[in-house]
Amino acid sequence: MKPFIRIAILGSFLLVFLPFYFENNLLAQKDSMKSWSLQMKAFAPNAGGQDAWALRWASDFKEWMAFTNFDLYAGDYPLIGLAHGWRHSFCGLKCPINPYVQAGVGISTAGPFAEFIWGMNLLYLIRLDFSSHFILQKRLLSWGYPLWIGVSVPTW
Amino acid sequence: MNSFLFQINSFRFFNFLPDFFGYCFLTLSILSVSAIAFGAEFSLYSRAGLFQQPSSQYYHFTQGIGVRLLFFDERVGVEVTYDQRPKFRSQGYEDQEEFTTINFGGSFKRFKNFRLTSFIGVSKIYGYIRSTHSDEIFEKREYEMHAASLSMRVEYVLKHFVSSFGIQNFHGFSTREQSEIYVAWPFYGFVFALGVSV
Repeated sequence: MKPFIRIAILGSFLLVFLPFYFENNLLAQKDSMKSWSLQMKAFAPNAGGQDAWALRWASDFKEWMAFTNFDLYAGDYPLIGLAHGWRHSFCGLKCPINPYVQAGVGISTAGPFAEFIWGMNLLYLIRLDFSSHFILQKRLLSWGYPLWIGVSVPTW
Repeated sequence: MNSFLFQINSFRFFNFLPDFFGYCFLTLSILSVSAIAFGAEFSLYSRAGLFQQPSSQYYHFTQGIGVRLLFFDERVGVEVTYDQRPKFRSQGYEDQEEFTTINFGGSFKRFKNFRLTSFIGVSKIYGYIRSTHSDEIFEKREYEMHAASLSMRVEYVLKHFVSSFGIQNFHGFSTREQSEIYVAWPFYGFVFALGVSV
């Protein structure tokens, strides 16, 4: 691993955890924690995975997301969508390890779709999702993001 | 005679039965003591589903069975399922797939007789495809993989009957070479289950 990447990873952890060292009651003061996540390349049946991106804003109970998949086209445009999801967190965003399940509905350039996620937040900064989209066109299309990996930033 | 032997060999359901019963025995023997201590719900059910293969947009019918043990007020438990996609013959080819799964999970929301459940576990997938062009030219390609099994269901409980409908995904684990190029093998499906519980 290149030194720059190593320093960047270490620096990111310090940025998040250093405040807790000085103020260990920081989380307890905040009832509702939020999280911004940016997800990038996902695994897929085709070699090279999916060139897909998603931006997600989540609480313990809800999530808004926008995504695009440059490997799938709806007409002349890449697949782009917006969705709202309802989440059940098993531990909550305050926990360093937070598994959750989520179901949502949204609209995309290919039609309305439903989203189902089994995921986990790790150490506030890492997000791992197993996610599937069922897009309603003339017939029901399924498309998924097995192991969609992203970075998160906790907010309040 | 040759084709008769081949048919027996290709009917892999019997090959998987020891796996299935093995899982069941382990599950039941480990958890039965806890179940007696804390009160449990034991269910036996049949499953019917529609599954999409990783590389196609076609849905295939599957059938299966499952056993489940939930305890701590049905919040936590374990289930073992076996699903099979029956043989499908088309254009000189025949294929089949089987999924043997052990899942952990439970219900996380309840309202009246309904409840939402989620399970996560591991599955063993076996499948084959063979040419049926001629008896003399015999070609068969088998594949086996392990997969993450994920499900989310709505269940309806009425006395000793349990029915459920939900999403079931199998995300096949890649080999190391495949992982390096971001390859995975997802199967997506809908499953309806109907069974009895005590």
